[in-house]
Amino acid sequence: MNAGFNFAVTKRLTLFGDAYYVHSEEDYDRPYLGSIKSPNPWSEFDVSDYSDLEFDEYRISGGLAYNLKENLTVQVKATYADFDEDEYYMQDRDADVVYVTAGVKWNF
Amino acid sequence: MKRFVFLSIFLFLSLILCFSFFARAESIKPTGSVSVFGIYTDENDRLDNDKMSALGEYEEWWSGGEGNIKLDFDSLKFEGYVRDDYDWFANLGFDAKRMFQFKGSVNRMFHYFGHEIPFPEGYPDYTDQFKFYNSGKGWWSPPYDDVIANEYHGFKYYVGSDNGTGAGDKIVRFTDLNVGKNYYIRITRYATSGIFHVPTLPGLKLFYDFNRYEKFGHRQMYYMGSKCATCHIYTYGRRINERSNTLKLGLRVTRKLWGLEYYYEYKDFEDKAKPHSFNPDKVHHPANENANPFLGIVFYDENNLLYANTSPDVYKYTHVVKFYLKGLPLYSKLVASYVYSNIKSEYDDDAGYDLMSSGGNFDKERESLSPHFYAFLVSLTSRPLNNLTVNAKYRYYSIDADNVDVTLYPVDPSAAWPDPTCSPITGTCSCTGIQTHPYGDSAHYTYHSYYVLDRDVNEVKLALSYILKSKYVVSLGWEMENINRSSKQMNSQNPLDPNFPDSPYMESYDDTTTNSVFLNFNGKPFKKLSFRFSFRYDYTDDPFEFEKAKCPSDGDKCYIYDTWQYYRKLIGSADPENSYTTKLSLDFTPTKNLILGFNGRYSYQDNDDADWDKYILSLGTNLIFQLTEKLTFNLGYEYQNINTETPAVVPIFDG
Repeated sequence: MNAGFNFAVTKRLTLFGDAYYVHSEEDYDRPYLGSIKSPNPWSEFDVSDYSDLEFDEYRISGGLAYNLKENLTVQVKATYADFDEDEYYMQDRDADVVYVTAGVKWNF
Repeated sequence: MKRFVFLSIFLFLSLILCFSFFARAESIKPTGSVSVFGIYTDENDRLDNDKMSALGEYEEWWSGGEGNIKLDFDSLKFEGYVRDDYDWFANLGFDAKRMFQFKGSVNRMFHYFGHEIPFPEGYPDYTDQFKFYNSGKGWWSPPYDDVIANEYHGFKYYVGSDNGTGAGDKIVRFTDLNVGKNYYIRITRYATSGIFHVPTLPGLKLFYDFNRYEKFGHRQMYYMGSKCATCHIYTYGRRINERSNTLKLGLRVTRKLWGLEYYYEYKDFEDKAKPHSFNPDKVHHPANENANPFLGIVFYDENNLLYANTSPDVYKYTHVVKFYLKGLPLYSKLVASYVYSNIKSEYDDDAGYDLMSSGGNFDKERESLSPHFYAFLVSLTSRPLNNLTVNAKYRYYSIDADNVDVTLYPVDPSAAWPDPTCSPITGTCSCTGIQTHPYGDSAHYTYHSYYVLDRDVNEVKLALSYILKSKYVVSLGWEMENINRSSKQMNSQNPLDPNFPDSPYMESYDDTTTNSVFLNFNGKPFKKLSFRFSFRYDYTDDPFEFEKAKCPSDGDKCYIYDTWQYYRKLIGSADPENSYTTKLSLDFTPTKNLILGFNGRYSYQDNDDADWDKYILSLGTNLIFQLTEKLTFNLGYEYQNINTETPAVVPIFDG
């Protein structure tokens, strides 16, 4: 899911922002092994457990652009990204980061 | 290949010089932009590649800066971006009054790779000097180091002064030779293309296209340290130093009623990093190191030097001719083309290693693989009625190559249990088996390779397209593909067969024939609404299948070792027998400031022979709403569900 906006507040000032969210999951059903009886190698460590995958990921960005002159703009933008694994493969990779950019753009 | 690189750089620099003079002479004032930005990140997880690659595997997540420049001299355009040495690009384009058009670019990017621990969290930690006890036989196993898991109950185990029950007779070992190493590569792409219109010969164009990819860095790779993957896995950081080049040179003639194009294409791929070498672990039975029946079924032992994760160098030479003819009756257009390719793949002896092993048990009759590819296509499109278009197409292609002929032999074909009654099978199962060779007769493991891509393929397509009331387009069609393979698959290897093992591959593949029908229906019933609908059904008679791929699902573990090793009855195939796909998309503009969109896809595939089916459902909507001239919202939602049911193949090894 994603959403965004771009809003010209005044002739010089523009606000913008966007966000997206992803939820993903995968289920691995416990395998049917027919007439294979005890000792069942699958019973001690359930492959269906560690083969399930589930994660949530979202990213939110927002910022503003201000025209100092007709051809000179300063812009600031901040992004927060988050990755959250509820069911993971091998190892938990939960991570998040704050990412800020600020600068100037000259058109000619 | 180096001369092509130098030629491209020379051309690139020469053109920049020429264009500078050109711009000055024309007194063109450039337009464009320059931007400079600083970047701050909190960098909490910067040193953990796994975490950062989860956030974005192609993005740099550290503080720094970036700059961007765009210059437009009308005929000459330039754009550049720089983040750091791992992330930058430069693009240049030039159009000399349509007589000569040139594009050139260099693009560098960064790619994180993960560092995996090859067993999930929850397994026990490493254990050294691990032994297990087989109460049925009264054996203590030899000691194992780096044991990280042992599965299922019924056996005693012993580690140093500690002992207990619950350990199993399956030993899983894993060694990471580069603990804690972060992996990433740097990718660089050089590209240039140009078209020259010959002024004295209208309709004649000469063109070239050159691309070069370089990948440099390290990534984690696996290799098996012993006779089977579940016994001992190693991981290590493999050096990546790959480059591939593509050069295309050609000419195109375009006249009023006909056209002709020819080009020659050269491609290569070279891996300049020497692969990792290793000696396999000693081959022995975990329950009795004095007996070694495995030597009758393994191709390498601790005396062989092997190489892991090798890639052959590949060279491909292609000639392509295309021709079209217009002005035929019924507004017909005829298109024909011919393609010839020769591909050569070989291992680089200069790097100091040979095919597979420097001391393995094999024979080979050819050093390199060199298939030839031929393709011929003819297509006729006609318009018998104003609103009806008919297209008929036929394509034939063939892949032809000699086999490399590698024959593998077990280390010790005579290896067997010293006493047939000592087989671990007899103590735990009541089934009958060859006790001297409990893991199958050594002769069954003598292996002879075939080139599996060798084939002849015929394809036919017929399609009708009808325009209805200028609002709708209906297309109907039928396609057929027939594949005839020359290679053979493993037959039932009955050791009592007098021809065995000289003719183990007696069974040819059946022809694979796919018939397809499709319907496309596109339209715009109202000014504000448009839609696209399609349906396709493919039926494949004898999809590509391996007839002796899997053990039966009702098998007992005793039967894994049958009278001969290959007790496999189930068919294995990843190709579908039936495939249905339906797609629908809508675009709706109810008001001037609102745009709605919808797309959906449903696909179902099955293969009764291999007993699997799969469906995919994906839905998506999007909305763009302009609230005022200054404020615009967009909103989107995507849903995807993939469901697969397939028999699991459970590899169970004794040891």
